[in-house]
Amino acid sequence: MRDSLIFYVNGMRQEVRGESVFRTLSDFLRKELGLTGTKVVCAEGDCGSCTVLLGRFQQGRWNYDGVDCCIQYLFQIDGMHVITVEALSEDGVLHPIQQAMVEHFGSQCGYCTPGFVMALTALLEQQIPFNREHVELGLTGNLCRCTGYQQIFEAAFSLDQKSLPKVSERYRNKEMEKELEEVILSPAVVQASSFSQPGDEKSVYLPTTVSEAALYRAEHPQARIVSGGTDVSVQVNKGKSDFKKIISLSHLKELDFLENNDATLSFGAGVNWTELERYCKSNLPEFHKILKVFGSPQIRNAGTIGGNIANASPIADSLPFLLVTDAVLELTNSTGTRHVEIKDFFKGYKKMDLMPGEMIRSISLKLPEKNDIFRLYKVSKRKDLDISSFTAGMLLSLNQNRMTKVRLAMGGVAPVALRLKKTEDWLNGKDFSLDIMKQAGRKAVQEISPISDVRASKDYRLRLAENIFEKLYYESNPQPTAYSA
Amino acid sequence: MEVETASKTIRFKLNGQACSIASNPVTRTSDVLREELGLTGTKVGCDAGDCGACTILIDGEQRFACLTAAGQLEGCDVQTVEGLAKDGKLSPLQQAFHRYGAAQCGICTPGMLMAAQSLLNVKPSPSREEVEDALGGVLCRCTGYSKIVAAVLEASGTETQELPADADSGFGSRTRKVDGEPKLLGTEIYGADTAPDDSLWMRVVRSPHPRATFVLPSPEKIIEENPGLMRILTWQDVPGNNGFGIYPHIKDQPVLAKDQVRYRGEAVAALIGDRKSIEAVTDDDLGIEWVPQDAIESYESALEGKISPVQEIHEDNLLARGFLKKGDAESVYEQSLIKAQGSWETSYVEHAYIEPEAGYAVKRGQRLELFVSTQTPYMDRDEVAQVLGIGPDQVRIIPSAVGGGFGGKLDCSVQPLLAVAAWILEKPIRCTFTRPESLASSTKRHPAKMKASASCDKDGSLTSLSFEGDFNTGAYASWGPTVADRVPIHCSGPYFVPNILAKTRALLTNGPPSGAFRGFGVPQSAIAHEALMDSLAEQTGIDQLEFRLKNALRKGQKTGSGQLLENSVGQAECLEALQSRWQEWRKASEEFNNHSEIIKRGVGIGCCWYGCGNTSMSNPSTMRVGINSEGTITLYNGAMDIGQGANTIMIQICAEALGLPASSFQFIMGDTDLTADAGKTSASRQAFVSGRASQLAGEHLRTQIIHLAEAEEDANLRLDGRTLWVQDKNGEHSILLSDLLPRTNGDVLVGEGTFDPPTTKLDENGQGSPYATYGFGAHIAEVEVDLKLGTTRVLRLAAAHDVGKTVNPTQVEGQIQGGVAQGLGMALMEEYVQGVTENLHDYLIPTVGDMPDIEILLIEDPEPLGPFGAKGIGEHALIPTAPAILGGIRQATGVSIHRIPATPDRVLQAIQQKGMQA
Repeated sequence: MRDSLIFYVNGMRQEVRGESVFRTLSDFLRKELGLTGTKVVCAEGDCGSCTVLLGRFQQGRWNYDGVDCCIQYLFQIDGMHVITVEALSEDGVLHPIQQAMVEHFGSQCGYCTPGFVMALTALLEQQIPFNREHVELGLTGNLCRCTGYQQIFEAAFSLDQKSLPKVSERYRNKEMEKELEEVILSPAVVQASSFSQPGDEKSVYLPTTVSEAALYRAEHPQARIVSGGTDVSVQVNKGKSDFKKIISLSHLKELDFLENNDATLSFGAGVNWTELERYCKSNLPEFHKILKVFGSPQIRNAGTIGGNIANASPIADSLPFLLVTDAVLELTNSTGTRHVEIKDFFKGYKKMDLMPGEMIRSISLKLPEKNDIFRLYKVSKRKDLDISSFTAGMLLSLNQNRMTKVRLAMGGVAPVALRLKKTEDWLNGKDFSLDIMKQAGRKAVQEISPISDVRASKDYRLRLAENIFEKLYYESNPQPTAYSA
Repeated sequence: MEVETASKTIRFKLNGQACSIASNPVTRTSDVLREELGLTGTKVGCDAGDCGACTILIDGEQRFACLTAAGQLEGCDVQTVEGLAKDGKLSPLQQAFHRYGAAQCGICTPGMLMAAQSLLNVKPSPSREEVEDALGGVLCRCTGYSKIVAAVLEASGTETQELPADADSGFGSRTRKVDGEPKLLGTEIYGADTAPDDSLWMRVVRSPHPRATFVLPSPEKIIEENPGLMRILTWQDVPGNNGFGIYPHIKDQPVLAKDQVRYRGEAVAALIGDRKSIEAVTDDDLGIEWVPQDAIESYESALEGKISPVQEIHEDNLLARGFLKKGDAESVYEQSLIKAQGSWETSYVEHAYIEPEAGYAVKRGQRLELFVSTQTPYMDRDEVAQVLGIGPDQVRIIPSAVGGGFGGKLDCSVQPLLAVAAWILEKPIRCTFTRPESLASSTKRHPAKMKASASCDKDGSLTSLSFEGDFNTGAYASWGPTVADRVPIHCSGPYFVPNILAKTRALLTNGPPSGAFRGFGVPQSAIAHEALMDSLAEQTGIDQLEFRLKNALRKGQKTGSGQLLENSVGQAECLEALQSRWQEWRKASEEFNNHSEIIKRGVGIGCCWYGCGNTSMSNPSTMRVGINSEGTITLYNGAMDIGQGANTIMIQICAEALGLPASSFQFIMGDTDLTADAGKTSASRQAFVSGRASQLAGEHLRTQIIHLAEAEEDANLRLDGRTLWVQDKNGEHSILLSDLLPRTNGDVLVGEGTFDPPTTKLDENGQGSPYATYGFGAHIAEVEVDLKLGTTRVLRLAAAHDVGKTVNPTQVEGQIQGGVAQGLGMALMEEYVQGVTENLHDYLIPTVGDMPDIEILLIEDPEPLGPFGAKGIGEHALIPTAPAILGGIRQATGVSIHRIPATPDRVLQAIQQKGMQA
């Protein structure tokens, strides 16, 4: 068993043991390698100043995506190749992306600039065109307080992705790639050696198969699973959590699949948001609308769907969709596998129907039918990169104008994201009319129990739960539609 | 820094010979060559990849040695300038350089040679363009490159041609940011990016309560238990005055609180030690005994007097008042038939600069040196001196590059704490605030509670405006008095109003200190006056833009403070520039609304004016420009560049005045030992005040040159290495700079300029001339509101601003676009709540996705006092945005939002309340 992490930074090999594996990548880059071009501003994935490229070997090829390295711990980047802003210029000559930023004054104070440059570089790596639509999406995870973003856009629009050199190409190196491709096939355990009280030692385990993971979980039921870590890392950074035993799922290929058979969609718990987003773009545009504003590209490149479910937040953006599509979770541990419907999975605030050692392996759901009315809503104070105040999913099948199947789900209105069974039953068989939908709104507020918090007041959430029915009605009739979500 | 120090063996070929060194693989190759191998032919000009003086060849390719980690040399073929000559005989290229006189001072020559050699190795007969490309990474200050290019072409046997002229970089051009490249390379040094190797770290322990008394137990035990923890500083360790603050007579904020705290986030102790140890010791470990007390957290409790006052010396919690009276607003309002009134409340707004507060301090002899991210090095110097109880000349402030300020880095943050620690421990100390710490401890925009009313006659001419505003100034004074002073002058907007009554108060509460934030209270009061304008326009049946145009201040009119406006009053032109868009956008939104049930659009308008410089106060700026015997021009620029581009425009202005190209300038920014006091980067004053000083400095230098050459006043100057050529109608005169006696810093001629904008004191009725000039502007914004969700989106915005004269259009545009982003945040989402929104996902600032298309219209009504007609833009850009957006919401929904920001819950509540009434 390997006892060290192996990864590369700007083409240079790094091998890390001991306590260091629990450092954030940003800390390692800045303090250990002196690469201070990567800035740390919020330490929680909100601002994108620490964006780096993460090269990963996925489905037989090397992909480079932007991630916030302040919430990536070193144990999460085992077997990967990190590219930082320092790697962009060659012999002091700026990369065309950097040059464009200079020429268009995309940098004022400059503190966010490395992050923006890396986010644009991530678009280049994916060969995504530098047009308004894609650049706006690609930069949602980066905050700038000086420029108002316009000049950054102009810099980006001046570029043609087809004619620019990919930064990763410059660092392509057969030996490095071969080594890293082998690394992710070999499980590792790394101990933090300085904490040496027997049985109390801090360690991280990186299994390569689900059965290895299940066995380890049976022995160490308290081990914290990290799968993307975009929330856990924030808790650790804030000093709110500290885990002795960590099991990191990044090398579990079995969790990284996505299949579509007729009306059923199945995917592994390790599928990240970007992969899901790519699939949904043409196949599930309504869910894609939510995915586009979920976190930021950096977060979507790291966070996984399994992590989103298991984090059990009542406001998790995936849940209204999973609830209205009757999603079923496949759960596994060392003794076997069972299936649980997602509507029954959440037992209370942050409480789940999980047996000792159990983990989410995959999710399968029924796709909405072509003529269904299917809408998902996310209300937040800011369009992008904001935690929702309220979410809703609504799926109606109509026969003539009669509702024959009704699925209603809401988040942010109770300790768990939930289905509104009573309102569903009331609506079933009724006509789809403005009056009926208004009445349904008034019924729905009886089924929920929102609270007031920093994101919204109880009163506002109740209003939204009621209004959303009316909005659904208007939007399902020919109307000019606004920006959505 | 915990940089790994382990040495590794690195093997490579050096000038044809095998070479093996034991070195830390992250060491700069330039250091390895010069310090370890003694090959000093490779010069270091910048250590940042900007100058190319360190250019060497690695595997035949030119590389900057200063940016190449020694570890990267493994297995490479490295060539330096020492390898060019064979057996002491110059190579053909070196001979050509020799023949052409391509080397003058010679410092760039090794880099030039290596860059040229890399080209000639692969392309023996290059074109001029290829040569220029190859040398593009190496800078020369002496030759103007023409002889170097000629030498390379000669060496290759290719024909020589004249070099193209320098790109235009003069006044009014889109000159590139002079400090742009390092920012792009990631090599810019911000406050957290450097410190002496042996620095200790500091972590500040802060109050978790808005108000409490406390006892800090003796630290001996905890220091004993933690060997890496060297010291815990408390108030007793402050050698001078344990107090700081913006005003010389109000040093009310303790460096470290003694026994009581007045806001959550106030500093009570500082842990000094190695980084690991100070981070490992938690606040709880210190065993501080806190006794929380009732806190004053509302205007009401500040005024009621039930809770003991925030500061003992201000019994009524009243820090400052402002007042302005012109005519008799109250009786005119009473008699008027057309009236509007309203009340508004705004929130604490955080600067949220992306770079947190950071720096290091080190004691050198009997002086303290402080490297810090700041907007105001001279104020920092004086502040630190009084905290240490030493003279200002014993303190040197070296500003780092500043990663955003917006007013928030005018107040001290790390400065006094680092200074005390370094002074007492006699060791370098560094500190970087965490984001939550930055949010909790730093100053904010004043929350305001405002009441205002206005009247007009039936033709739509304004007849009166009254304003009353309470500004929550938090626990300590900071810039509270400034806000109380500035708002009455501006609260009537950029309009001619014959009768005005304005009263302001700055109230102390147990909140974070409110300080300076882009506009000093004016953005808050603009929300009030612009809502009143809309209401009056509606009542008179006049279009909202036309109403504002009718009342716009014009030349020859007097302001509310009785100041006669003689020059540069472009308000009407700004509005006229927006007229056609306004009509078109309004029409488009009406058409949209005709076909939309629950999504509604509206277009709103906001106007601004803002005095450039400090209010009724001397605020001089001194700039120096020098030229040394090598022909290098240096602008000693004390005007801090915090991202807005002062470094660039000061050079553009000075260059224009001097008559030599901006591209021949270098600059030193804000070092209190090297630059003169140019005042604060605040109050939209640098372009206007320091810009004028730069112009005067350039003119002063020019006058000396003209006199030396005994030439005519209108002579043309030209710099050719060490020779300054002065051409007039009588011919060309030369000045050999190396013949002149240098000063200690090497400069042989120095120009200096000082400008203090003329202002007068305000009398008891707020009458006088508080500013030497004002900037004007107007924004229109189209918004879209979802009537069922309460969400608002700004679709497009057009901004017209009178900037006097544009120094650099690209930078002015950058200021406006950045201002709009902050104005949009203030209007729709930004709200700091102590203890609740202490990170960047609970405290929201606009992202890319929130920004509308922005169209910019620059109006130029020159200001004779400004540099070539220019005046400020920094704060003006933000002021009209929120009023325009709020007006758009009003137009779209028919409801007015009185509690800012207009978050979805507030908008929806207002819409539904109106629906219930209807």
